[in-house]
Amino acid sequence: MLEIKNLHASIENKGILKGLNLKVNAGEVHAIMGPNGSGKSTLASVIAGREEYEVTEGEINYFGKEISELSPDERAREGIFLAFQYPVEIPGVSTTNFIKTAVNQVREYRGEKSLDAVSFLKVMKEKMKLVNIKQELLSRAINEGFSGGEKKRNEIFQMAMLEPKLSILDETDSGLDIDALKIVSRGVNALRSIDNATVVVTHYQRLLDYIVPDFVHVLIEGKIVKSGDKNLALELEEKGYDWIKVKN
Amino acid sequence: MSKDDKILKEFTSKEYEHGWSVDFEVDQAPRGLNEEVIKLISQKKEEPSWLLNWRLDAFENFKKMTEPDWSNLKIPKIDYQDISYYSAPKKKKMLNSIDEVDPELIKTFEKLGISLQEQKRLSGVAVDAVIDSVSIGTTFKEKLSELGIIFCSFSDAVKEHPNLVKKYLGKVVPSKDNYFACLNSAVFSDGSFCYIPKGVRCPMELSTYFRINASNTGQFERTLIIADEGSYVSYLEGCTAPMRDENQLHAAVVEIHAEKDAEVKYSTVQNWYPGDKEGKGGIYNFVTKRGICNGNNSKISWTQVETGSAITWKYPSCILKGDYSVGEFYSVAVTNNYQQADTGTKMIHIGKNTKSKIISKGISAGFSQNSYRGQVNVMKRAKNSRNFSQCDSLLLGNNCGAHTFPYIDIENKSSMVEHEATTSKIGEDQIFYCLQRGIDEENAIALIVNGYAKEVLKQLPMEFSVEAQKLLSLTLEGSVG
Amino acid sequence: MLDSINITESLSREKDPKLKEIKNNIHSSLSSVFSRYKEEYKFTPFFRRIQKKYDSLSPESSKEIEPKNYEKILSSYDSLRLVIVNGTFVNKLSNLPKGLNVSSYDKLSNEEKENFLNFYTQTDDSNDDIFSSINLISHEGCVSISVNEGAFIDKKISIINIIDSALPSYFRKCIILRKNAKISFSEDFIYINPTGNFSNSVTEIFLNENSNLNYFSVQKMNSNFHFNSINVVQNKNSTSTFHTYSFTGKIIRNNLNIKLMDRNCYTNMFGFYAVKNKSLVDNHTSVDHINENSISNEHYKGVIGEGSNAVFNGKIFVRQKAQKTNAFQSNNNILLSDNAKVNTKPQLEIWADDVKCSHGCTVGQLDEEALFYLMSRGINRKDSISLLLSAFSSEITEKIEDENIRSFYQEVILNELEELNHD
Repeated sequence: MLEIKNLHASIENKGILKGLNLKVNAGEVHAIMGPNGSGKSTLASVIAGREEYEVTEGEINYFGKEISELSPDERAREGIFLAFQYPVEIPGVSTTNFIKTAVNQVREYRGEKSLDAVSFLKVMKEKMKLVNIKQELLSRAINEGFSGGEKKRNEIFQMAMLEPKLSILDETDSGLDIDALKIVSRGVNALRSIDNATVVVTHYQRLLDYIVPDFVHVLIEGKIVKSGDKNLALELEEKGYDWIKVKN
Repeated sequence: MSKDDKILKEFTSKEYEHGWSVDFEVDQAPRGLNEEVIKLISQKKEEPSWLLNWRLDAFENFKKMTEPDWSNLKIPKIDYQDISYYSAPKKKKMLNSIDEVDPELIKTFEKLGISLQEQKRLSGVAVDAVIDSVSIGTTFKEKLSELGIIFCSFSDAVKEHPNLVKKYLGKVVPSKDNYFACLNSAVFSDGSFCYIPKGVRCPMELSTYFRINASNTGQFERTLIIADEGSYVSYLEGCTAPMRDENQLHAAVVEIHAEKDAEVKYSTVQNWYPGDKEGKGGIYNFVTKRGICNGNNSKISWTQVETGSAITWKYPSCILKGDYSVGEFYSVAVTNNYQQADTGTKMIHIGKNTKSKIISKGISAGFSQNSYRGQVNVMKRAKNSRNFSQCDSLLLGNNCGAHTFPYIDIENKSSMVEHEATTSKIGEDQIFYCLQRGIDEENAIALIVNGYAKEVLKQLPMEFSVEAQKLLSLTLEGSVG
Repeated sequence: MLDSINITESLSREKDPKLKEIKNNIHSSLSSVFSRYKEEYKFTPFFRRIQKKYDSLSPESSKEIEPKNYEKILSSYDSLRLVIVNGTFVNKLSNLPKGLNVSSYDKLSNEEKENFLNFYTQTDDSNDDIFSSINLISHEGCVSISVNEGAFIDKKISIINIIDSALPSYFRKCIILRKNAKISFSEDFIYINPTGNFSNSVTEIFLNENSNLNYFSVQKMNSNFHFNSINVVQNKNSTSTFHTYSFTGKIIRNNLNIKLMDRNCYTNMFGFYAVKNKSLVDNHTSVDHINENSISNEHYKGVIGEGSNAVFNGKIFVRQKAQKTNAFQSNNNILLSDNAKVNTKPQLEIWADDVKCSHGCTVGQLDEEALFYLMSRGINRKDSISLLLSAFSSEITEKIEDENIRSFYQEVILNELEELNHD
């Protein structure tokens, strides 16, 4: 589904990713781990197409198609979803209205009819249960005054509504207490299928107790320096990132 | 950036929707401003002599005045002698009801989405339609009169309710108040008149729809709203004009009186022709709107969505004379291309425990200049008064300007005044967030701008609110980066 | 009105041909400057009041200064000081550190004069402000102050202006900080006679690359008229910080105009006023962001007592080129009496889109609940009020980095607050 080859990316002429390779197939869950500043969030942003980042070398293939030239909304409509580490507040725009606009634009792109108010509400009600989100929250302006947990649940709720093929969760566990973490993970797990894939970007192993990855990659200084299965995460937790740094 | 520029360009390039004009026979005064013209207007309207004298008195004053130069506007020289001060669709005979109105005119308004045929109207809104200088009909007149509500054209009011007109005309906006109000006092042609009797809650929205059609004319309407003790009314005003290369002058006056315990809500969606992309043509909109909260516990609330006009000079104000009276001002002003707006409000606190609130959202795009100008004055007598003002500006693109000029003058120690203002552009992270969800940039911007203006838009009556949101997106279509 | 105030006398006294030319130029444009007087002096009816007192705004021709007369007054000020009497720099009374060069214009060498004239009147507001233009015509012996390149003067220097004349006194100085220089000044105006004097000061300040200036002013003018204009131009990476504390004066008018010419400039404008004894304090400030990436931060707070009046007008301009500007402005007022008045006008004018600008202002009263709380603990009403007001002022003074300077000014303010009258 996703194949990244020798990816170099920079922001304001500062190189962050320095030759990254990654392959993700449908049905898989990948975890990207690494210390602060290693380039984890940059990777997430680059895949989603954030314009501040410049791809200087390498390619990102998505279903066999190079996507570097696609705008962020085109990528989103192709099924790439980014759950933000810091979801932004948009005053005055209700969450419901926001998601409805997004869902219908995506549907239009796929050649599907846009949902009328009634059927949209029906779908919404269903997905709300998944992450335990309340109607009241959805009628408020998007992310405005939301708690950390509410913001993250709202991200997963949007993921459920948009039914992406490739989901990237950027530090979704940051700022969550254990109960919120469970709810968010339950939502993510419920959305897993053989047709879609998930990339979990995280600093800590904790999240991986709940979202169990098929592969774990360690990202240091813009490169994946080690890959393994879920046990690699445990080993990292125990020995710290210095263990790998020293080895290299 | 180049992509942003492209979208910006697309967004700013939307055409004005109501730019057509209709040919019908008109009765038009020759160009020029002089006593003869004023007498002619007064005569056409079969006015009593006191009103003619009032006009002539205003004209005497007007001749001594000069155009105000304190605003942040570049106003091209206006030749007041080159304007026709009276234009009216020719009437075949006296009309007895709205159904007798020239079908061509009814069609004109239908094209604007305003039906003058009562059965076709959504119930709940009564309309007074004013074309060029004259009211062509008022709907639901009879139904309203059952409640004692008077809702008619200003000319009819002069004939049918001269005492009311005489008692209230020029009491909030004196004829010499300012240059444009003075001009209006001399040459005003028509407008709406509304009186809500004691204790009556007006069951439907009252609405005036203004349309400039003829060329080389100015429009000078005058609206007078009187809410007697304990009454309530919600009033709407809309306006459009054809696209013409010349600039047309619109100098209106609105006066509101709210007696004890009365409440008046006045909403405007101003969509006069703003001129073309190069800034050619468009309406010069110089309007004086002022209300007085005369009695205790009265309330006047102004809501305006300003998207049109080449130049807007407008400060809907409240004089809070009664104790515990309340004044509110909610405004969204959008300027694009070469539009200029200098708009805001005045809240004059005279009575004790008076309260006012100002929410202003300015949006500038293209090469436009958008200024907020507001005054909050708390007099010595106005103990325990409160004001809160929030004035935000949004800049779309780097060729426009946003300016904020609040004047705050406080003269007693028990009052509290807070003013906040911010200027920013749309957050890039907000746009990216929308894009990442599959919403394209144009829709993202429309979404964010509407969210930004929501606090004001939600003050509008339902039907208007939807129209205003569409108008906002339309005015800005293609203008953000 | 302008004609009735005679200022031509001092014009004829100017001997230096170059200065004379400058003075003549501004004199011929005086009436156009005067036409701008109305809006900018809406709340300070200077002329009406001054006219009653003075037939002429010309100063007396400079008389001999007897330094001994002032030694006693000066003993309470910083040991490092720069003394100016009736507009004339008095070297004998001054004590200047290394790296700081001060001279009056007429004592400069020809080469120095030429250099000085490159700066002179380059920033002042004499084309916009009637009093600054009168100053330009009327002052004699502009003081040239320059701080050497790289000079790092860590002790604060007092600029002490003495007004010892019944006729108007004009002060004018031009301060140039060379590259990488750092210096702190405090400025006082001392009136030998307690009432009825008129003083007018114009200061031009140039901050070259990487320089850093702190500038403190304390204004206790009793019943005198004081008109003060400080005009600053900042170059790349320079930083300026102004603290202006105003207390009494028949009329005090401050103009503080700052132009951020180049990138990465930073300016702080802080003010506190405790206006009493029927005083009028009028602060007009402006910041002009001309280039990218600069920051301005302005905060004025004040308390207005019985019979007094405060005026604040703050302008922020962000020009089209000044992307990535951050500009903040805030003005908070507490009125202590129904016979106190405040007129405030914060103003933003913005032509660049990628900016963060905000202003806020409030007018209110003492927090009655807090007052009650303090009194319930046994503190009397007067002291409780002083305590609350000093807390109100501390937001300004705590911005002073140097601990000694900070506690000095906190003390000054506290003393002034205790004397405030309220009803």
